[in-house]
Amino acid sequence: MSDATLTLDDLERDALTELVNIGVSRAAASLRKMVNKQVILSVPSVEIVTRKSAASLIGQRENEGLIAVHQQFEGPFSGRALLIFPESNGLSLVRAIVGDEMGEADLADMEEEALAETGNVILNGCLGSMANMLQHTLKMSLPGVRRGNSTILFDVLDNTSDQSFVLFLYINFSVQDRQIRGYIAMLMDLPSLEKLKKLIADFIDRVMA
Amino acid sequence: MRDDIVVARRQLELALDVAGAPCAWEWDIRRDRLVADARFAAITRQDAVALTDGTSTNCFFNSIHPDDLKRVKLAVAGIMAGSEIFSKDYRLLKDDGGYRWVHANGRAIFDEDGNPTMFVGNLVDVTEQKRITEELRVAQTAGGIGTFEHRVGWATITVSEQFCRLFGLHPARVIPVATLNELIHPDDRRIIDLSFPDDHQDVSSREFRIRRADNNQERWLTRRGEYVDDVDSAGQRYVGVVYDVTDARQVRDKLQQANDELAGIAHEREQFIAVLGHDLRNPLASMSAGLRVISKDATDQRTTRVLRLMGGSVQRMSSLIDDLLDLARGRLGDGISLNITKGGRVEPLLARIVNEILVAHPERLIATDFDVHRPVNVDHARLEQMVSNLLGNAITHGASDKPITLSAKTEGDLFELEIRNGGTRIPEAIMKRLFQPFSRGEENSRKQGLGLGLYIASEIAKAHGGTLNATSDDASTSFIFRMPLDCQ
Amino acid sequence: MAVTVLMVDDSKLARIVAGKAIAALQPDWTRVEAGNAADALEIVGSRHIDVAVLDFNMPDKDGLELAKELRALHPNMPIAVITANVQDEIIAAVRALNGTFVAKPVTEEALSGFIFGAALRLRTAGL
Repeated sequence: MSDATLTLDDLERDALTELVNIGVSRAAASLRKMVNKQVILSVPSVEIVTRKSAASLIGQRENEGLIAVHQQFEGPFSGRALLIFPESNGLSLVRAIVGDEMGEADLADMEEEALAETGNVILNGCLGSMANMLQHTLKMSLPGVRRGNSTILFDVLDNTSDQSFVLFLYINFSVQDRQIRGYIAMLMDLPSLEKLKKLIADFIDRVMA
Repeated sequence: MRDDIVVARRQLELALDVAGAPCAWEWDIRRDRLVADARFAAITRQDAVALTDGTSTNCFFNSIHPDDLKRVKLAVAGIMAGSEIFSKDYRLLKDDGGYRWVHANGRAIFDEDGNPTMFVGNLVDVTEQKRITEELRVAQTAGGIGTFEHRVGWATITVSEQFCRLFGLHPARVIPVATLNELIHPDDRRIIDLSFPDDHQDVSSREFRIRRADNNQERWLTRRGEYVDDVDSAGQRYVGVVYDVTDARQVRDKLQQANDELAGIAHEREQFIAVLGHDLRNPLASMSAGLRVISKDATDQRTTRVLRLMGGSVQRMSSLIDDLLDLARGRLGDGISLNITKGGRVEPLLARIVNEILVAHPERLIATDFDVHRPVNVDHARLEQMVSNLLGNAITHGASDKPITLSAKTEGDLFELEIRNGGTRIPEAIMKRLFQPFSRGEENSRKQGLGLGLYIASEIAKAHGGTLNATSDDASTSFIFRMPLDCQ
Repeated sequence: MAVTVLMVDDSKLARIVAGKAIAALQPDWTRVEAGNAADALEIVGSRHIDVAVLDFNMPDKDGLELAKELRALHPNMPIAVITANVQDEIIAAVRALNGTFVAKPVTEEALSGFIFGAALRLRTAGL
């Protein structure tokens, strides 16, 4: 693997950040509609790291268990998108979405499914708008829900090793309610990154035209 | 462009530079027109009149530094494609060929279908701010100071790079409050306590222990924060700084330990003196009794003279031991015990002390001045101890050709006694230690004592609820004892 | 005659949310639910359905394929495909089937265009 594939120059990074901004803005708008509360987003972080350090970037900040809704995406570039939040936030999030009418028991029954659906809306909105900007189509898998620590969340991609490099994009989101917060994260392996760089270059060209 | 307009614009630009005021723009996306105020026109080198009607966005892009143009265009493209928030720093060219840094904040307004229709925002000159921010960043890194900002009611906190370093975290702008709280020692206060119902954190500074996320090391940090009003949300933000105080604490702890040890040693020594003094008294008493017996039987002159000298020495030893015991009592906490005579008069006592001293020093002059109208409740033996000590000092250290005065008076609720002698000023360094035990007036003083006299005198003053002070100038030195008359 | 709307979504939560929105917009409509494409086709074969609201993301057969089959059976039925997948290609595919694309999350507002349009079409056709 040449060095060139391992790096993004400043402009590419800016462009990628902007693409993620577009995606997560849509995701935040969706989340806002669902929970009917203010949602704030951080500036996206874009890092090229090993899979293991991607996990520890989130892991060192999270002591309790996590829930992740994950979706695979395939197309000119492929990888995995995740909506991650602390396990204790799960029910609050579902509660915020369905409102107060539903009983506790029904709510608990529905937690897993509601999380998958929420993740689906947020991640699809995010990836879909990015794909539109790049003028390519991405095929997205059905959402899955996983629980565990940060390593479990990231180790499901194919059979690549811990030491393989990935493009790791993540943002923090926080709902105006001191309980609910989490991350939207994307992991792409490096052959995808190479294709992504090409698409980003095209995107930059279109913008500058 | 007409010259006068150019001049006017320059002036406006200058005025705006001083004010640093933000300027506003509105970008009608459907019509691709940019409408903005005169300040925006000035700062982007456009025609103010045309801009109030709307101009092509090309004019605006032309005012941007070529190195920043692509970044700005990318961010604008993001807005056109659905990004909500625009927040960018970039450079605008100036007429003189230089540039200024600006910060642009904007947001898109969407139609029902979610398409952006308007892009509105403001622009502010941050050239100076950027310089200060950079200086601050350098200072914070050098000083190891991390900064944070918490919007009340949110689970996340915005932090600086240095802040992350202090906690051993990978640098990030936004981190969950819970993450930080987890790193804090369970017995210490949380950095932001989300369980506080009104979110009111401590405004005073607070020290706490953390376990660093990277190496598990325990460190002490100090947090200082305060509340500021959040202009954007009408809510409040809790902003503050964090720095490492582990080393400072270690130094402080060591110093405390050393102090404790020293205090322990001093205490032991004083106890030793108390015991020693006590044990020396009995053999001395029998020596004194023995001398009295032998003196009666002594016949020859030589023996009588030697015995008298020996008696004087025993007397002196005994008074040294008394001093030592008084010192030990004062230092060991119980203070000097008193045997107060109520309703007694002090003038006869004072007159007797003066007479005794004059017998021993017939060459000196001691003037007295008594103005005592009320009974003074004192321990007569202790008062005698104090006054003879002070008079003895005055004779030893005062100018021999100047009279000594002893005055005593009652005034209001105070009894005041002053002993003044002529002579040169007592040096500052000696004045400072005057009432400390083992301090002596002169380095080479072979004269009596352990340097305990003034210490004991001041302890006697204290025991009476009073004070003993010294003043000294080029002509004279005076010691003043004051005590309240209602003292038990 | 009462209108019957079929809602197909593998997520019960999504059916609850969509059901709430439709009930608010058209309280008189009868709502029928199916959890997958096979069940939906069975219902369509066994009773009269006026309007269909389909989720795109479903296991086995996705909403777009189901819409294709329903369109073949009922050339004039108002069909909406609901999805969070906002990619241009999906939107174009839904439009090609003469369907309405509705972006998730589903709200009353998001569904109102389709529901009122469908009500209007049914009334016109019924005249």
